[in-house]
Parts: sequence; C-alpha cells; structure tokens
Amino acid sequence: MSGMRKKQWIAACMAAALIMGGCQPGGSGETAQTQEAGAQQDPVQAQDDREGEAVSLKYLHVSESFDPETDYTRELIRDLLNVDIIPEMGNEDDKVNLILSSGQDYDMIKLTNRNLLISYVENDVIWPLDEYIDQYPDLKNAFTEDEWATVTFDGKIYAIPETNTDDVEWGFSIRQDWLEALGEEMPSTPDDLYRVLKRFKEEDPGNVGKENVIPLTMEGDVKFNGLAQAFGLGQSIDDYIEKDGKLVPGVEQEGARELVAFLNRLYAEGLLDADYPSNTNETMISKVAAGYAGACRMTPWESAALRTLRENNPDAKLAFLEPFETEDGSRSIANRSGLKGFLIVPKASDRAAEVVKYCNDFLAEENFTRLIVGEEGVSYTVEDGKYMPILPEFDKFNKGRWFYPTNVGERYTPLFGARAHKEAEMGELWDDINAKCGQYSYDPILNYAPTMDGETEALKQSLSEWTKEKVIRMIIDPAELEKFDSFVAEWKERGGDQLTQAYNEWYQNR
Amino acid sequence: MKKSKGDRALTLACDLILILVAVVIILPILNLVAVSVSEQTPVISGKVKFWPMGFQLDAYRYVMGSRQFFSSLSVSLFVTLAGSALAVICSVLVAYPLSKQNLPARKALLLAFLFTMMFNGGIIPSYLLIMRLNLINSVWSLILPQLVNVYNLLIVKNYMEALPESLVEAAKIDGASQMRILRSVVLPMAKPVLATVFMFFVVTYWNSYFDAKMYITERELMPIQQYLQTVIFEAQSPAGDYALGPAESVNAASKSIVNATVVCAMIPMVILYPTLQRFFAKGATAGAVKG
Amino acid sequence: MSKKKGMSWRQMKREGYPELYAMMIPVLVILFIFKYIPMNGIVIAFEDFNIFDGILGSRFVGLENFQKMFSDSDFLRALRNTFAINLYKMCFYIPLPIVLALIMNEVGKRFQSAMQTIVYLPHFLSWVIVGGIFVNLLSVNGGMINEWIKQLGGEPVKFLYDSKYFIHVIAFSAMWKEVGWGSIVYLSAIGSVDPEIYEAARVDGASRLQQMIFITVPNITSTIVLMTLMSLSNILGNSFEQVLIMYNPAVYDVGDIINTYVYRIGVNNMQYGYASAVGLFNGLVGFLFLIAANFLCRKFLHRSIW
Repeated sequence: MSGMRKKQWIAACMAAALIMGGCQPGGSGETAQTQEAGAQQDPVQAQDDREGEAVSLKYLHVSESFDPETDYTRELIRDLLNVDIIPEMGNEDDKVNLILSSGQDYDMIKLTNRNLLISYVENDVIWPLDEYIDQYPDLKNAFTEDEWATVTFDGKIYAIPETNTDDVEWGFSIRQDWLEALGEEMPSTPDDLYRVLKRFKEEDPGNVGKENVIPLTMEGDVKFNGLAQAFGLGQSIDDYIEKDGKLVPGVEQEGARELVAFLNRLYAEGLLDADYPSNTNETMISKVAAGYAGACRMTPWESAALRTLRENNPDAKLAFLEPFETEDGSRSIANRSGLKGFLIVPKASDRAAEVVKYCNDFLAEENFTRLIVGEEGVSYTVEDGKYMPILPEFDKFNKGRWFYPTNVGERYTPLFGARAHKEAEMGELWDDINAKCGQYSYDPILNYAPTMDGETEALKQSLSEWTKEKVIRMIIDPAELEKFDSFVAEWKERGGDQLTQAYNEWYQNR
Repeated sequence: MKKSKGDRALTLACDLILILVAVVIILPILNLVAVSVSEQTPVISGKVKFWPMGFQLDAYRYVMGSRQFFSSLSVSLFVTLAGSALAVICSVLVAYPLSKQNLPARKALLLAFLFTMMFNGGIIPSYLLIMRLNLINSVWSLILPQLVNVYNLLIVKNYMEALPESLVEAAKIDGASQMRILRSVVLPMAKPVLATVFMFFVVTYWNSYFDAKMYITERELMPIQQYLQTVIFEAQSPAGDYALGPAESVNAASKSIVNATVVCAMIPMVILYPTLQRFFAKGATAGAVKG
Repeated sequence: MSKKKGMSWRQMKREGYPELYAMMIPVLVILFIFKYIPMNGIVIAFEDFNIFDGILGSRFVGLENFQKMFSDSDFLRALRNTFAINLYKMCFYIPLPIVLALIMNEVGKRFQSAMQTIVYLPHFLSWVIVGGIFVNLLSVNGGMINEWIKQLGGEPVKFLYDSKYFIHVIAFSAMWKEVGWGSIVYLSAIGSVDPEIYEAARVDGASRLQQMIFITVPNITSTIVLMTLMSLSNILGNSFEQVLIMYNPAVYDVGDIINTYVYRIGVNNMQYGYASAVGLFNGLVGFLFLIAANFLCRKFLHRSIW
C-alpha cells in the first residue's frame, strides 16, 4: 500500500470511527461521580410522586443472546407494575466488582455468587434494605427467617433473596424396558442396582451388542443424590448430615467408605462407564440417546436424550428410580430448594425504595402468576392441578426469567410445570421424577446456611475441588481406595474441621 | 531443464507427507461441519462422523438470523480492519528505526517494549484506565490497547534487519528522508512480512473476547465473539433454570448450534488468508537487489 | 555490532536519526498509556488487595502472597506440571512448523496454496471445540482411536485417564492445532530469500534437498531464533484453555497447571492479590528464560533479540 493511499485509508478509518462514536446511545460511559453523592444521601420514601409516570430502574443481569429491550415480559412489567426496566447484560464477578468500586449508577444487580455479597457489605457499597422491606409485610413474609438470614449481616438485610423451586432435579434413571426383558423390578437398594447392572452387561437385554452396553453412565462429578443417602450420607461424600442436633461431615461416616467402595467395584467390573471421569453432560447424553446406557444419573432437562432415544428405539422406556433404600428401609433425596440468587442495590443508586417496592409488587398475588405464565385460557391452562402451556402464546414468556428480580421457590414450582411441559418429553420426565422422588424429598440444610466469611468460603471451594479429585481417583483406582483413611485425615486437616466448626456455629445457634 | 531423480523423489516425499498432514487436520474439521448441518437425532446419539446424517440449516439460521448477529459482525469488521491497519503502521514505525543497528538507545527502547510483553498490571488497572479515558462502551477500547504488539513488532524488525543495505544506502546518498526511504524502498520489499503481521493482527482482533467482556455492555457494540459466546452459552446451559434453551424452538441439536457458531466465526479468516497469500509468494523481492 | 559511541548531533542528523526517533513517538505514547500506566497494578501482587480501597488504599503485605504460593503443595505441583508440559510441547512446536514450511516450499504452487489453507484452519478453532474433539476421539467407549485398537485385537487404552499418556495427548493435540499456523512465519521468511542464490546453486549442480539444507535454513535462522526465544518466554503461559478442557481429576497430578489450578480453587474470587502474584511470578520466570536464552544465543549463534 503506497504512502498516499495509506494516509487516505487512515483518514477514512478515523472519520468512520468518529461517526460511529458520535452515534452511541447514552451508555454507562460516564463515570458518574455519584459514589460520593450516593453515600451521603439517605432516601427514605419511595419517590412515587411521579404519578402515572413509570419508575425507571437500571438493571444488570447475566449475558444472554436475546434483546431484552423488546421482550414481552419487560412490557408486562411496565404495564402491570409501572416500572420501566433499563436492561443491561454482563454480570461477571470482576465486572460487578469494578462497577461497584467505580460508582456506576445501576439501580439493581442480580447475582448468584454469595462471596461477593459479604465483600460488598464489608466495604459498604450496597444499601441495607431493612427500612424499606419493613414497609411491605407481604414481601417480608414471602421468605422464611432462614431465607432472610442468608442475606443478613450484622442484623441488617442487604439483598432481596431469590429461592429456588423445591422440585427434585437430579436422580437416577433406568431403561425400564431392559428391566422388563430381564423380568426384574426397579432396583431398590444399592445391591439390587449392582445385580441389575451386572445382568445388563452380561445379558444385553436391549440387543445393542455386548461390547456396546454401558450399564451405568454418569458425568464426571462426585454428587450422588439419591444413592449417597442410601449409605447414610447427604448428597455427596462431603455433604453434611444432621445427627444429634449437630452437623457432621459425611466424610467421617462409615457410609462414605462404603459408597466409594461400591462405586469402585462398579468401575472395576466395567459396570460404570469407563469414561466416567471425563464425561460431560453431552457425552453422557449421547450414550443414553444412542441406546447404549442402561442407567444414568440425570435431570429432567435431558428431554432431547429421551426424544432421540425413542426415535432410535420406539420401544425404549426411560424412567426415574425412587431414591435407594438404606438398610432400615428409609429413602430420601435432596430437592434443590434454597437460595438461588439475590438482588442488590448499589449505593450509587438513589432508588432503593423503588427497587424494594418493585420486588414486593412483583410477588403480589394479583401480579405473580400473570407475570410468570400469563393469563389462564390464553397462555396457560390448569389440568388436574398441573399447569400446562398454550402454545404459541406461551412462547412470549421464553426469556422472561431474565427479568425476575426475585422469586419464591415454593410458589414458583407449580408454575414452572408450564415451562417443563413445553416439550412433551421434558414434561414427562419432570412429572416422573417428582412422582417417584417428591414424597421422599427434603430441603438440603446447607442451602440455607448463611454466607461465611471470605476465607471460609474460599476454603469451601478449594476443599471441594480437592475432594472431587480424590474421590474420582479412589473410584477408578483400587490402590487409591486403600488409602481412604488417610484421605479422611487429610480432608480434616485441609480445612474440613474448620468448615465443620463454622457450620455448627451457625447451626446450633439458629 | 529436467529435474534430477533426487529432486523428483524429494518432491514426491513432500507431496505425500503434506497429504497425510492435510488429512489428519481436515478430518476433525469435516466432523465439525458435518455435525453443524446434521439432524438432531444422529447428532445427539453421537453417530455423526465425517459426513452429515440428514440435513438441516436451522442451526445456521438460528445463529445468523438475529439482528444482533449482523450488528456484531459490523462492529467486529470495523474493529478488525481499522485496528489491524493501524497496528501494522505502528509496528512499521517502530520496527524500522529499531532495525538500524547503530541507533543510540536502541537496546533500551527494545527492552522497554519487551518488558511489556512479560509484565502487565492486570484487568483492574486496565479497566480503570479505560474508564478514566471515557472509553467504556466505545469501539476504541477494543482497538487501542492492542495496537502495540511486541511479538509482531519483533517479527517485522527482524525481517527489516535482513534486507540488503545497498538500496537503503543508495537512497540516502540521493538525499532522501527516512520517511521517504521507508515508504519507497523498505516497505515494498517488506510485503511478505507486512502481510504476515497484518494477518496476525486480524486474527487477534477478530478473536478477541475479553476486552469486550469488560468494556462493552451495550448490545449494539458487542463484537462477534461476544455474541457467539452468548449463543454457545445458552445452547449448552441446562434448560431447567427457566426458559428452555433455544433448541426447543429450533430443529437442531445444541451441538449443531455450537458448531455452526464456530464455523461462522471462522469463515472470515478462511476467506482472508488466500487473499493475503500472494504476498507470501516466493520471489517477492525478486529484482530488488539489482545494480 | 559496532556502536559508535557518542555520536555528534551532526552525525546523527546526517544519518537521519532525529527523524527516526520522531517516527516512534506516537507509538511510544500509546505504549506508555496502555501498557505502562496500568503497570501500577503490579503493586497489587504485594498487597492484600481490596478493590474498594483501590491500589493505594489496600494494605501492603510484602511477599506474603508469594509465600502463600510457595507453601501450597498443590501450587508447586502445578508449577512442575506447567514446566513439564510446556517444555515438552516446545520440543515439537519449535521444529515441526519449520519442517512443514520447508516441505510446503517444495511442492507445486497450487498444491501449496490449497495445503496452506487447510493446515491453518485448526488455529481458528477454540480449544473448547478442539479439546472436545480430541476427548471424543480418545474416549474408551465410542472413541475412534480405541475402536481401531479393539478391531486390531487390542485392549482399549485409557488415554485421558492415565497419567502416562496425558502429556503426549496434550502435545499432540497442540501440534495438530498450531503447526499449520506456526509455519506461516517461516513461509514468509522463506519467501523473502533471494531467488538468485538458489539459481546460482542450481547452476552449480546442487539438488533441491541440498538447497534446502544449505541455503534456505541458514537464511531463516534469525527467524527461527526469534520464534524459539518467543516460545521460551512464554514458558509458563498459554496452555490454560487446552488443559482445562482436556483434563479431568484422574490426571490432575500431571495435568493440573498453574492457571487451571488457580482457576479451580476459585482463587480469583476476590483474591486479586494472590492472582496478581501468580501473574507476576509467571512474567518473571518468562522474562528470566528469555534473557537466559538470548544470552546463550548470542554466545553460540551470535544472534540476539536486541
């Protein structure tokens, strides 16, 4: 490129850039010096004196690939609640830290990482919301004391919680047609499971070819909800269980060794997928969908697997198992209730009162159902107590969840059924898992534990990563399994004891 | 002028090796493309190998069908082309002086550049800087920080050092200014390396993702990689949270969607390279060292 | 390299040096603003950094973050693995692109163009995809490689779960992805060698093979040296995405590298001081390697980066 042309090219680029730069909509480019200003203001009353005019709230949530400005739910919120949401996307931890520390003017930010919450409280960058919440008894009563406690520090509430639905998400499923071909019942105990898996491998009831049979497949993880409880544990080896008024770590129970030994045996005898350590959700699903897997640990969301399986094999029947029995015949399985996310109000905003009011109005009887599933007869119906969607009307609510500032799990669960039933298979699986496991489900205690201090939270994470590594190695390698006792000792030393103590401090003082 | 036996054998051996390499490399890519256009059932069952099973274009329709795709595309095109052009210019403006062995303080300057390659302050000070310069949500936040790339700079400098001195000397004797020499003598000889480095910058700008993640929150300004990441993220996220994934309204498996996104991200590069290839050609300096 | 000490202003003007300096000014400004100003962030490595107190407001803790790093046995394991994996990768990554470029230089032009287009494609795929492909390929149930092995009568090999094989898998897949792209620089360098030299050699009766060895290679040596040194300076970097996708708990003992370790234990979770210390450490090691390698190059090959 000759010099002259290069210069013209540069000029053209700069011109283009200037034009583009000038065309930017407002954007958060301005570093509002409102951090100082915000810290001094102390708004008490909701500024509702702009009657008729919608209150505008700037909202930040996760990045997704739809256009929130034109979304139907946004319109609904404006019409029903008189709130105009200004949506922005991108709530990664680092980004939010930077946003808060530089005083950018968001009114509400939705997060899921609790570690951040404690840091924001300690550094005084978000508003305590008690005085507003107290004005709305409905909002206050929407959550239990324990649930409020998860977002409370030094006696003050710093965020509006969002709790998860209380359905069961993870369970074990099995090829019921294979069982029937073998004349077997659904396995109830771990020993039943072992026997059935062995028969799958040796007798190939599905006729897929003996070398292709994968009796049990799982993702490369160490949570065994539904199975671990049969060994007297929680959802996994390092989950905590309530015993004699205390919280004791699963690792120290006899059942922990037995569970790992059980899985080790499955792996050694080729009953557990050889690719277990590296299985992702996708690879695991492909084995189920191709018809090779006899049993698997999954969620109702793998409707694609079921649909594909049926296309490959119309007689296939995939059904969830009830949780496995302990020695004394009891069954239990954890549901997924507990704190899911929370909404904070940065100090740079002067609309804390409006945000709280918005949350309250969102949960109000007359609004809640309408906002989430629309109108009966138009976008949903209720059949036998189950919510079912009316398509294509219901599609308008596809991305609505992005907007919810808060949610109450128990109230949401039945409405969620409408979403689950958008796809026939997903609805089937969801109904199935709840039918089989619902009666045995319990709220996992740790989901209600408050946020610990930063050091303990960091410890939790590094400890759980280390445990995952060790447990998987013990499952695939008998030599490692021999060293189970030293695993336990090391777990305690690496922070297990510290964690146990921290949990009990909370648990025993509730 | 016949080729000797040894030469023919060499060429044959090279041909064979290249074919083998190409096959090993292209097969997985065939799989990638095949999955992106195959129907749901075979994809989810993991049965697609190198050729599509069934056929659908829904995955591509999904990725490219949104308005967002095109606005992201235009943002990325601007950033990439303007950025790369400017970056090449910057590289040349520094590589040329530094290629002169006798330049005083040359070593110090080089070290100053090299140092930045190894050490950087991290995202926080960078973010604060961009914020203070009022460049948050500006396309320039995606261009400026990557303009100076030491790696590419060294490649250009290295190349320039190897160029024959005679022409430069001749021009100097004729009384030309350095800028003139650079433009008329050095740059024409440097076409291969300029094309190379331009290509490198194009790839860097086109693929850059983290900058945008931190500095851009407005959707019109999201570059293509950021957009594609959100598509992939949604295609792969469990449906159980809330809105079911895109796959339920699209007749394509999540994996097909992911692969279609990857192919879309790749295509511009695939088109660009052959265009630049002629600059790499042998004999680009033919005729330069006469007289 | 002869450096005229203390050039007079007139001498410099004659050589056109002031103009050269002037040329560099805009870029130096950009360098300063965008690279040097943010370097104040390096201080974070020595602080108990709190993002809300800022760099100046956070507590200075000296080498505490580094002490934490080195007293963590898992970190040391990750450090060891990082060296091992990157050095092993370099054994392939340095020579193979050169060989590929030389080979491509020998074939017909059209064939060469087509080949070039194909071999650089994997570079544009992210490791998320490439890693996924290799994991699929190498898995025990349904992976193609093991299918072939079984057909040939062998036992399936646990490529991804056995510490023995893991490092080879990483090196090979990295090669698959990068060898084509890596050859671009060399092709460009080869393209700049004066054809007249080849002509002269051919007239003297040299075969193409001899031309390759005695003309091409020596003429691109400076490029080779440059690329090698650049690779060495990256000794502690680069493999994060690849390893993250391809490793699993069964091979953490050889596969967990610094960046994946830091990622896994969520160190970045508000622990900016520690993360920054790790980054600084990486940079330092890379820098030392670069200087050492450059010194060796200068001593034995009489070439250097500066």
